[in-house]
Amino acid sequence: MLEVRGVKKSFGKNAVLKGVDLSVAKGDVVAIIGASGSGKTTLLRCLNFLERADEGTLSIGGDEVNFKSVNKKEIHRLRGKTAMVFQNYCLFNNKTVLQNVTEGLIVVRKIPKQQAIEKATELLVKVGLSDKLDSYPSSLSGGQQQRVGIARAMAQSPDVILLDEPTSALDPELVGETLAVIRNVAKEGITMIIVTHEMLFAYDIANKVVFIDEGLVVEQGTPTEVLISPKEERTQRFISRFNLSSNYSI
Amino acid sequence: MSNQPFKAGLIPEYVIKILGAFPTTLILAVAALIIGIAIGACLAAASFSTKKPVRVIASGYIHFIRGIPPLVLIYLLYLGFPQLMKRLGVDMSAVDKKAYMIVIFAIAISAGFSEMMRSSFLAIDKGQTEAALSIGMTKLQAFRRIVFPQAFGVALPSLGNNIIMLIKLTSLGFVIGIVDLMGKARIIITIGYRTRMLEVYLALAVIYWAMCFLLERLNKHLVRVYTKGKKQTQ
Repeated sequence: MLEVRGVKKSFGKNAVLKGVDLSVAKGDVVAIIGASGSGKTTLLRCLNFLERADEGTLSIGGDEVNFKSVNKKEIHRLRGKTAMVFQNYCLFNNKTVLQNVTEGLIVVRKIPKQQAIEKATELLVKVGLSDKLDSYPSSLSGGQQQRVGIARAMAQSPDVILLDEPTSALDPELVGETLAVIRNVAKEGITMIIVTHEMLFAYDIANKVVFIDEGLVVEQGTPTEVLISPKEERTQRFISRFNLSSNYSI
Repeated sequence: MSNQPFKAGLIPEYVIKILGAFPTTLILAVAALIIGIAIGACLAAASFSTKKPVRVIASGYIHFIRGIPPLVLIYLLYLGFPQLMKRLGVDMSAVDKKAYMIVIFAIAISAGFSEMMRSSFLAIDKGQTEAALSIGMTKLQAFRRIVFPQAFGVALPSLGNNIIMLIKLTSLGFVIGIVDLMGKARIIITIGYRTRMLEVYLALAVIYWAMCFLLERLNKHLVRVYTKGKKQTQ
């Protein structure tokens, strides 16, 4: 359903992605794990063209473009098939919670206002924010903001939702409520690609885990294959480091 | 100059007389504001350009204008520039004085307005634009619907200050013979054989002070209304 081939991206002399391949089937929940600076977030941002990859191809639902030659129109078209959930939420600060979700429906998808409000309200109820519709983002907790972010992404009815470390800016208390919402989205069969440092969550929710290191996919497979009994030495080292730190956390 | 006793009772009368020129000051300020904002917006856009020469020209202009006292700029552009044009075969003596002055005021304030806009846009997190793009908005939509309203909220307090500066700046129009509030006051003084300078200038000061005071109050009110319920920056 979503397929990337040979994605390369450099920032100046710093090669961040060195030829990444990834294929995602419909309904997949893919967790991308790896150390900070390994290129996971950049990969995700390339899929939504927030970052322009230097080389490679991207195909979503059979619609294929080459990163090298992609034009504005194609970017706009493919962006319509994905939605992004940001690490620091990035809610529109000048819009209410409800408007954050309706904005894309009304402005981009040209859905009549009343219909958009109904759909947005339904989604916000789903993420447990029915009492915050008219609040501004600044008055919400991080967890609440991120749930709005998820509702905003879902409102686009995208083929795939991209989540960029959705819980890493949250304090531990708020991580749980956000992960629960993501889990519910996954249950609905919506395709997701999640960049995360939450190994337990990845193990729990994903049906496919991809380990990226130094701009390359080192290992991929089922959560058990990658997280429990990884074959590659680099994966083993990364996983063990995680286990160690989790033992020390209270 | 005879030494007449100070008569505070004359001031209200002078205020009313001077206010006869209020429309001129208003036109100068409003027109210069509109043109100044337009030039400032172009400069701010240029300073974000991907092309280096464009950025260099914009910042060169801004630094040049900011470093010149307004009075020097007026003489330079009103008296000096036409001489240059004359040598190039263009006669500028027919240009309307007031229109010319408006353009000079606009140029004088454009640098400050540009810096105000620039810093307001920089205050808005890049993520706001990215989020707008990610839900399929075009860059223009993202700017108009998400970034601009927030940047406007950030700019509002300094916009008020800049407008007050502009109003006070228009009082320099008299140097080329424009009859604005200041020009009118000087005429009244001359008619009165320069005997009532203290009263007339006090009346003039009161008028400028009142205008700026009202603007300041209005601005504070707008800031309150505009930021109601929403914090503009994270």
